[in-house]
Amino acid sequence: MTNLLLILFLNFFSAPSTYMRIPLEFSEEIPTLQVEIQGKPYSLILDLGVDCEFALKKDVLDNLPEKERIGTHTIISLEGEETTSTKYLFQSIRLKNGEIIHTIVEEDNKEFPDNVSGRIGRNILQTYNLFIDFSKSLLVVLKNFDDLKMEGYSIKDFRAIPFEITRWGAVFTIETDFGSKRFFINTHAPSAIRNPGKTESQKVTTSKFKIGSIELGKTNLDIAEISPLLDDIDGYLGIDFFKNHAIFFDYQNKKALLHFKANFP
Amino acid sequence: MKKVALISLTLLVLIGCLFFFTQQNLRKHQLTRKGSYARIPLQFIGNNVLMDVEIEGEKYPIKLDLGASSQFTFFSETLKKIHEKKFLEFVTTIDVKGNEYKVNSYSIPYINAKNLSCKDAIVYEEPLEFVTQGARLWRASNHKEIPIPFVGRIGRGCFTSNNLFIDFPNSMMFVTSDMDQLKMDHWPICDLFEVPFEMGLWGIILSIETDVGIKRLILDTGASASVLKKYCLEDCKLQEIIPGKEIFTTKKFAMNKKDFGPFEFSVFEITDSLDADGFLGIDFLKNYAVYLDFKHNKVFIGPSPKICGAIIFDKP
Repeated sequence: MTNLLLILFLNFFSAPSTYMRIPLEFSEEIPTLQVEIQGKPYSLILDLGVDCEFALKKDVLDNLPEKERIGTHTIISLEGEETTSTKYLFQSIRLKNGEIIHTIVEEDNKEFPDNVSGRIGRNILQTYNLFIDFSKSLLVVLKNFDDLKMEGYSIKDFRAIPFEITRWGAVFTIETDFGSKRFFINTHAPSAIRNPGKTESQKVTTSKFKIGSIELGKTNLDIAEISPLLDDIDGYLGIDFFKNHAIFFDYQNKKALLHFKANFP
Repeated sequence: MKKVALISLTLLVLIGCLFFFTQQNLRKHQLTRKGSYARIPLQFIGNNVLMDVEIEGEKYPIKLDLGASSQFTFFSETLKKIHEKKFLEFVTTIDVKGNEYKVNSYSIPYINAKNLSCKDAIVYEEPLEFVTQGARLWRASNHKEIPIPFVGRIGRGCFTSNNLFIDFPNSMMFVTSDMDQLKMDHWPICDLFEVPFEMGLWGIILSIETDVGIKRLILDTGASASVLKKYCLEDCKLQEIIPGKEIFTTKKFAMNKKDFGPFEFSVFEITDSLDADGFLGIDFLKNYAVYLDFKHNKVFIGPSPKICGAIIFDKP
């Protein structure tokens, strides 16, 4: 106990960094980031829509000897299908400017682009606060919003919008032409909504798209196939949204800060 | 007067030396670890909790049996494969039915598990009938013999100079001197509930309130089911679920006033030499995380944490 207090005391005064700047690359429009696992570099999709810490292709996992099988994890897809995959405990995965220790990696049988080995999900990233600006190919894991001044952002240019934390991660309630809809975050697909009527088109347009007090105006959305079993979500905010809007997620206080742009009222 | 003082002083010094050398000798056989803790993966096969140890470069699966006072036991077949061993003496062991076994004991230079090492480990030769008959209290009518998935057992004799955090649902065990070491290394640990224990001849004894009064149960990771001695339940209605196996369900199952009930016991005749009323087995323990503080004679029980990674930021 004394040791713990001493370390907390020392940590307090040595002010450790809680700021991890991670550059993003875009592969086929999908954001990816570089990690290092057991001395080898891998490219992973940033997928805040998925309920996991890391997921790797089977052939990649097979070539990583230092892992420990610790059970299985079942996830449910948007189509309502349950998939169970094997979970492994990894001692460390290195990111730019930091590392994730004793982390869970799942086997992933999804198809990925050739140069991608898997994905990093929301579970590990939302243990801190998160800033995303796809227009600058930037992801930051951080504690204090004010630290974003280092990136040249002006704090007064952000506006607060509320969100809930659900089994789908952060969920925003957004007013649309089709009523009030619930959108989760999906960073590897364009923004989409469950078919709001009986349209046969692959896309819909809503003239109203209001999150909290911020009216974003005319917005195009893909039609997503979302199982009727998943009645707690109606759609997701995707890559296009995050290319247009830098956003800071304050997970502890369940509020996001959206970067102010000219089209805001 | 001076003579008396001198004799007293000499006696004190002798007792002190004896205590010191006894402690040194005990330490010699204890498990030592590199680092502030060791994390040992566990594997459940049936209701057996297994871990791997390494001897002379070979891996062996052994059963974690905190109900056993010994350090290690190995079947004869396994002991034959171990080249460097020194015969120590004959020892007498006893099973729960009261059967006695006179067995060989050996010293093995090193038994390792991850970053743990036991130097000059004391190993008892285990008669196969101890597992197949002595430790088996009942057999289902449709029972099929399956190969025993372990080659020996590791008992609490290995661990009492350390503390143990056993996270059964996550299949892992930590050997440490202080739970804070685990917290400092970002392992998630839920709030645990404190229960004092007494160390008896047969192991860690917990006092548990049941519908039939306070019962003293031995915490036993080697027991696949929790068991009460039959004499504790003379006037109680038992349910015979299969021929030869009776169970008793208590609504109350409280430790230090926290009720975990209802709970089901298997009921058997157990040797009178057992200084307790029964065993608290894996059927209960596998649902919880358990921290055993041998120094302060306390058990901490609570929900198993959800294992998740921790972000470590580089220093600027």
